Amino acid sequence: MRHHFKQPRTISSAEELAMTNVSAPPLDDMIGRRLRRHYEHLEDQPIPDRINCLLEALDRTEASRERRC
Amino acid sequence: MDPLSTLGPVESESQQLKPRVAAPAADVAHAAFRKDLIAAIPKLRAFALSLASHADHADDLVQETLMKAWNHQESFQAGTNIKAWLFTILRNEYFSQLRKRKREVEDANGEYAGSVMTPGGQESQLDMADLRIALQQLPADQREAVVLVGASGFSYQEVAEICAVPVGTVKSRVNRARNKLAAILGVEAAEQVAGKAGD
Repeated sequence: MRHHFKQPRTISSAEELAMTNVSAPPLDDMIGRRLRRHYEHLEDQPIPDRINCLLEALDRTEASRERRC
Repeated sequence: MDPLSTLGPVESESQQLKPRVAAPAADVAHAAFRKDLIAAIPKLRAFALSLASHADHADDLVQETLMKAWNHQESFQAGTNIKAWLFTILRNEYFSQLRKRKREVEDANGEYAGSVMTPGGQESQLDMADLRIALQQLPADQREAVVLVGASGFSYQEVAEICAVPVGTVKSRVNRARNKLAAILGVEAAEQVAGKAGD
């Protein structure tokens, strides 16, 4: 079973209408700034050991595969 | 149907790593995929931490997403947006678990706020803790939308694709989330006061 991330589709007229009617929050206000600061802080958090262990497991799997080739 | 949303239960995906089928011609693409996967982890984890109410749950989501991405990397179309692909897998996993368990609890007591270390001054710590608590008071779909648009750097169109909803729905969710956050945090009042003070 193959899964694909769908490519951006054409915006329908109904969606265009919705985009026109719904005021787009610019998020360049205090809320947006706080969100971005919070998110940047989360990105800077150290990667937990168990995630690093998973990466090591991926590497071992890859090395094992290459040895068989 | 969203990517990977119909895959089996969480447990089955995590139990083993699937060795990739050997294909020398695909080695370059695989190396690039692996590099991009690793590079995306901090952003992926930040998104998970924004969605989930506990850091452990967020790391479960990241781990499961990486496993699914690794095991289904052949389904990724090289040259397309891997960050959006990974975020889609993660949010599908999150909402799938949410539907199954029906027990995601609000974190109004700030338990999660204390589970993530916050550097900086006292004001910065309070700001971030307040924001985390406020985010957890939003409905999950609004929290997701405001984080993706407001902090993750995706366009409305990309978020619509990730969430499999119309662009107008994304805009509406972001707008409602932004207004709720402003109300919870008292930002509107503060900005109005500041504006009057500057007159």
